[in-house]
Amino acid sequence: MWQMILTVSAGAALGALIRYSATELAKPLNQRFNLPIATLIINLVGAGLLGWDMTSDLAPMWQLFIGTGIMGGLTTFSTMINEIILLARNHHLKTASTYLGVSLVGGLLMVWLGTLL
Amino acid sequence: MKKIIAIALFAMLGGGLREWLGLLVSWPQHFWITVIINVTGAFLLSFVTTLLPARLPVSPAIVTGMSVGLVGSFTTFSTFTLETLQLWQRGQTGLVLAYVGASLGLGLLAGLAGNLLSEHWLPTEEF
Repeated sequence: MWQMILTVSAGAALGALIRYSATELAKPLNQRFNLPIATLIINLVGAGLLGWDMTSDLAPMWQLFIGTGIMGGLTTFSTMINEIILLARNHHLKTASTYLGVSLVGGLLMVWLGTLL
Repeated sequence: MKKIIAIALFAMLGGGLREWLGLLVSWPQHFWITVIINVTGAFLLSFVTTLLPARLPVSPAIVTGMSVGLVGSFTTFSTFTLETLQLWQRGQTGLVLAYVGASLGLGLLAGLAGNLLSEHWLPTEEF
């Protein structure tokens, strides 16, 4: 049990650092797209890679490290929800619903495509 | 550099906690633990980013570590999409609607509640 928890922990640290770096780098883009584009791309890419990882031939511990660990730490549900709320509370209802819709439909599409790889 | 270390350490805690909870529960419909994790995280994020630094003398590195690392890695978007796909492919349309509805509906409600409560409990300026 502890081996699994520590495996996920190590992956999550890596995933969170990639997410933080990508978010910092993409900050100027949020203005241009008028959307939290960094979180969106991270979540879509992470969903696709998780789909691939969980249906791959990798050893279970690698699947856990990459999937539940790195992709779990890379993607984030809480930030997405709070960005949607922030948009909605600032009267950007259309952007908020677009962001939610693209995340959901795009995420499902990406994870499905990932499982086909 | 302090932020990087804080994010890494707190993310280990957040991701580890997510896996620990996943291993702990043995429900037949195991995916509900993801809903609980994601809704809880959506609720807590505002407290960490807004209320915590206003109430306690914590460094910006700790705040970033706890928001980006702890809550960010505790919750997960990728597992949410994978579990939705798996339910869909098993033809459990009712559960797909319940799972997506609960994740997004309760997530948004919890996030809004966290937003409003953390603002409500912010220290008022004294003149």
